[in-house]
Amino acid sequence: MQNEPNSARDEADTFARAGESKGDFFERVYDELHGLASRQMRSQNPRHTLQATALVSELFLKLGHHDLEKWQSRDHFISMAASAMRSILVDHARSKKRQKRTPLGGRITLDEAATEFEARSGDLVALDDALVALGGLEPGLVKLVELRFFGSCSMEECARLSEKSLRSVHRDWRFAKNWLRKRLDPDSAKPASGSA
Amino acid sequence: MNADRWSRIRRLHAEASELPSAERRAFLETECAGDQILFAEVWELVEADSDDDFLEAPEVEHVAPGVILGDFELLEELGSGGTGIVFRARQKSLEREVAIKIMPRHFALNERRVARFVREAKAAAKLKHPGIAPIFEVGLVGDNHFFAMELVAGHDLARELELQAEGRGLCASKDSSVQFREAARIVMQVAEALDFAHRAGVVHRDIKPNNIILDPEGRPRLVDFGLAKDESLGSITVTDKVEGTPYYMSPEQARLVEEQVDARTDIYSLGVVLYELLTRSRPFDGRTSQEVISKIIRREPKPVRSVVPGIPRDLAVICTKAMEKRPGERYATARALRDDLTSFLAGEPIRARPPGLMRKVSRFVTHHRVAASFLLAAVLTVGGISWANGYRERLTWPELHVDVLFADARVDAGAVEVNVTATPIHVFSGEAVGAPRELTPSSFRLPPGAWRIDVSAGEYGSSVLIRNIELGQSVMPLRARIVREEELAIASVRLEAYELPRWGVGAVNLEPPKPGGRNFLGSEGTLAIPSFLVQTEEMSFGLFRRYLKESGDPEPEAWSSYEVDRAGDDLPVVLVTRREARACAEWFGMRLPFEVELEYASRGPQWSRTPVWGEDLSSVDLANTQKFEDAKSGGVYAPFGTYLMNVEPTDTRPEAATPTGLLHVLGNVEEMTESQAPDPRPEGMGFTLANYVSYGGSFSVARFHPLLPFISSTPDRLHLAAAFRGFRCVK
Repeated sequence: MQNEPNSARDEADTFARAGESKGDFFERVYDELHGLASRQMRSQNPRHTLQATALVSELFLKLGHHDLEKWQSRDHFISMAASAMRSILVDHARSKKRQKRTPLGGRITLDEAATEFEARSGDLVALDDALVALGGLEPGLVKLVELRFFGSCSMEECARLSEKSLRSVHRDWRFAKNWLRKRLDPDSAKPASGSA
Repeated sequence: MNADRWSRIRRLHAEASELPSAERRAFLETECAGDQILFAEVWELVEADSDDDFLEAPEVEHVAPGVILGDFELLEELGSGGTGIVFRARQKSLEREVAIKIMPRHFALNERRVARFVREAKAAAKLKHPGIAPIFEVGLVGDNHFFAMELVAGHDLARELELQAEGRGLCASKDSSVQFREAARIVMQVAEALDFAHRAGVVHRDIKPNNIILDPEGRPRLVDFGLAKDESLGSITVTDKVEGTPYYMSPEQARLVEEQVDARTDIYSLGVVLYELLTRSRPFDGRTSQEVISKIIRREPKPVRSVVPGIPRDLAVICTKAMEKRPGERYATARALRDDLTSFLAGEPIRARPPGLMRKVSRFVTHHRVAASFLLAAVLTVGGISWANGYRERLTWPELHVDVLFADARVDAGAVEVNVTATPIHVFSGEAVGAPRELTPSSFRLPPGAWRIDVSAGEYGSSVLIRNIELGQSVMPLRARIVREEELAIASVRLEAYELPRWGVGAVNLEPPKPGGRNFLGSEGTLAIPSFLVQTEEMSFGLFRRYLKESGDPEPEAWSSYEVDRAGDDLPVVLVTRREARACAEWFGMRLPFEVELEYASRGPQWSRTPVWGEDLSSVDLANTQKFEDAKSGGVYAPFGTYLMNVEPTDTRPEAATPTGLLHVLGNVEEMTESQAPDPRPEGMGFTLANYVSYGGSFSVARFHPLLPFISSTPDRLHLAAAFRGFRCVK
């Protein structure tokens, strides 16, 4: 799609612009969120629009409709939205597990969105647990996973948001993935021969 | 794990990963030097390395140079906009270069849009004229709808203007009189091409410098009839989205008066292009699209000669004539515009006359008096729709269909005389702002704005529907259910009529209005609130479910995304949109209240600043709401869970009832109203139709002190149903 969100990423001004009406601001936020949500959607299936929309509604609720103006910058906003995306999807996956039954009809949109993510992460609840554990070791890596996986940020964006060099973000990302991979699927990482 | 060890693991992992895979193990064995546990830990991580798509964002497939679409190979992106991306491409079979315009991917999801796109491309393909870039082919490959057109060498007029600003450009000259003549010549040639298209029944509708390409000889070519309307194919579309380029939009496009958009719209836009070529500035500029649109509708452009004094008088007259606000006062045809420009270039007298003094006065009056604020508000709302959909659909006043039902099954509906009137109302207070109109019960059209529709069936009862009529919907179905007052299913109390001083309205949040002060309803006189019935409790899940069952209406859309069945019948209903709430209220023969009605209900006739009654929240478990705050910052906040945790049954807390017996007017859940929010905007544009006011606070969002009455507003176009917002009915 031609309006690649990256192009708009350069603005570093205050997210809520001076003199901007609430309506305009909301429109912009909505656009951003919709972009964020739909970037997750792999193919061109029309249902993905619905999924993205369902995610956006959730994001709005989660981010709180009263304090949108609080965000200092677009970067701050993206980072918050990525965290919110994580908790929406994980909460959803958790509650689905708890219910152990087919959820109500239209909830499927969020289900499908979660499935899109799970195609690349495996069980979201397990991922979340692993992230909590990783957070105890190096919180910065969790933030990176949120931005990259839940927020679909490019490496360049992640580097800017975390104020690190691109090279070290690449290093962090590779490590975080390997660490999570091992944690999520202990069998896949073969035990090293000769280990204790 | 201590930090030191962790950083060793991180370092070893990074270093090992840099090495060829065959050398990693040996490297780690050396580095770990006997620390088997460290070795195992790092080795497992290094071994887990893989190029799979674990946690990787999906590749967004999109069109890019190198991609092949049927007969065409994309070579280079030339530009993109709201209506598609344009590429330079090679047509393999004919070995020629063409320009390809590809419809944005998300548009392909909408069949009507696709059909329109194809129709438009076909309409444009019929036009053969040296001033119009021909369309070769309309196609579909995969998900990509595209059309191929002639690749015109040169650059567009927007670029030309940029170049001219730097003293370069194809048609630039140091001599300003040559410059003016060049502007006249270019516009004259475009007018000629436009005249050809208009005669073929095609209106361009999106004339702007980006759509006029100057070939290396400086001859203009019109491109992108992508938004054109072919009159012989029936009307299909309106315009590009407002956000795109509003600068060249005609007043009738800006006001969405679709019936008036015809060839003269192109003449107006071409007039703007002429204005810009002559003055190097736009007649209407602004920080936002809305501001520009507002000026297009209301303001007269600064005369070109007052911007650049040297512009020939005749050319200024031509420009003014082309840009008249009313289509009837512009050149009637593109040919007439072309002829005047030709005359100017030949040094002959032109036909257009400058507006006389009387005309000037009348223009001033018209454009300053018009109820532009409401038109503008409509534009803004539609702008919202357009922003959501990318495109505006055809916009007309919707046709209202009223379906009258009787709660009493014994009534012979055919034998009852039903009267329907519609009254324009103030968007906030709900008071009439115009005379009621009698309407036929079956169907009718109303101009955009807030309306109160009274459906009266004499002794059987009556029903009131509040609607905000917006453009962009062709039919608006209305269902009026007539319920006798003594048979209302909803427990209600009657409040007496009350005359409220206007300064007191909206006494909300932190700034209480003072006697003699002024607010958005004025400072003088009183606002009459007629006696009305108000539901004692908030609408409950039980009653809402009953309405769904009786009416057969579908469940609120948001319900399917939450575990709504966990909410008992006695809890206040939430997660409903305004439309869904209205449908429920109207099923029970009632309606949603205006903000002033709820304020009156909670403050009483004394209109006390701090209600002496209302919610006694001393016993509300604020620890719970604190927990909510904590939970939220910790990232485990489930909105509906919070609702279930904090909200109470609608019939609880009788000790906190108002003297008239109303419960939870301020607390429990926020309540929807029909009042639209005052939204201070530049230029006194007044209200944004999209913001609706909610009254009171919610126990599940204790951010504001819930003891004070407060209102908050939410943009309605997002159609958000929230877990903290419900409603109660009035009649």
